[in-house]
Amino acid sequence: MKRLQQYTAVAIAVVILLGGGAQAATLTPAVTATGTVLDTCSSAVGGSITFTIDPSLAGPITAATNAGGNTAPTVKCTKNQVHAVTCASATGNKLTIGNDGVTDPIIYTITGCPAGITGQGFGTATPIDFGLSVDAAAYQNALAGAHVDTITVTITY
Amino acid sequence: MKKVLIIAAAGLLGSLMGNAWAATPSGFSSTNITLSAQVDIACQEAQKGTFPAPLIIDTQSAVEQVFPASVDEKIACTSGTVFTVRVTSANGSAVNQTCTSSGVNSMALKSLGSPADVIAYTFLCAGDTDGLGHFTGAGFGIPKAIGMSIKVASADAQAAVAHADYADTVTMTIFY
Repeated sequence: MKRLQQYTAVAIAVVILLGGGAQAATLTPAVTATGTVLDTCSSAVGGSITFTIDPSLAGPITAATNAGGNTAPTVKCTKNQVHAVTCASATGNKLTIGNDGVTDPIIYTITGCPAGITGQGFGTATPIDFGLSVDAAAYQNALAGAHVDTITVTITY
Repeated sequence: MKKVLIIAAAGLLGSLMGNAWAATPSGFSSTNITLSAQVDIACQEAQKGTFPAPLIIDTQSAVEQVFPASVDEKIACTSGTVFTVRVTSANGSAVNQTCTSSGVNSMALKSLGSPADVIAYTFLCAGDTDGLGHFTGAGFGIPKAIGMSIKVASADAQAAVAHADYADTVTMTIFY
């Protein structure tokens, strides 16, 4: 009977020791919030280049989105992100009557199409300026009248 | 309780990382720009015409005498542009007459030393396309030859007084 009481006392002491350790620990729960801003582009708006060709001239004729009252295409992209740009003619760089790609073609060259643009955020549209050049040999025998083509500007993100 | 908090934090992080992976370059945006070029109508002299100097007029000829230009006049115009050539004789009465392949009358050669002595002649533009004096431009790389010449009728040649100083100045105006 006496031996049995001693065992009981030892068991109680152990329980108290474990309980004291739990109360001394510091619990600091943390929540990590990580936001990633998407690298993207949208709100692309078209532009226009309108110019006159005097076939009696002898030199190349140039025009650009940022000159002569023309309008540059624009796009909104994530700020400070660089995005690749390409400028491609729908008809193989031919200005044609009726924009059919066939009638009285005037061959031209796209100049200065940027390899990339740096986004300015979605509050600011970034212009994509470029130009074109038409050699005299391409226009000196052209028919009078409007010649049209469409250039597609593509921004990859 | 401690285990529950840790799991919740890990779950939030995983969700954000999922969005980050979706932002990997994966698309494109495109727009069009319209190019509009207006080719103007224009004409200009590409080559000045001349006649042999002097022209030798045979006063005994019984037939009309035609003197082609030594160098033909050439006009370059925008391709497809229809134009006319109008001539004015400094010594004749022709003023801005449309030059045709059948010619403009009322032209006159005048002796500089004897201004009363004149020889009437006809100025022709044989290069017209329809006999009515219409020419069609072929572009500035392909100037159009006027085909000009002078014709002196036999009667006018036979009536001419011999001088070596007959001359006229023909002014050509291009209308388009």
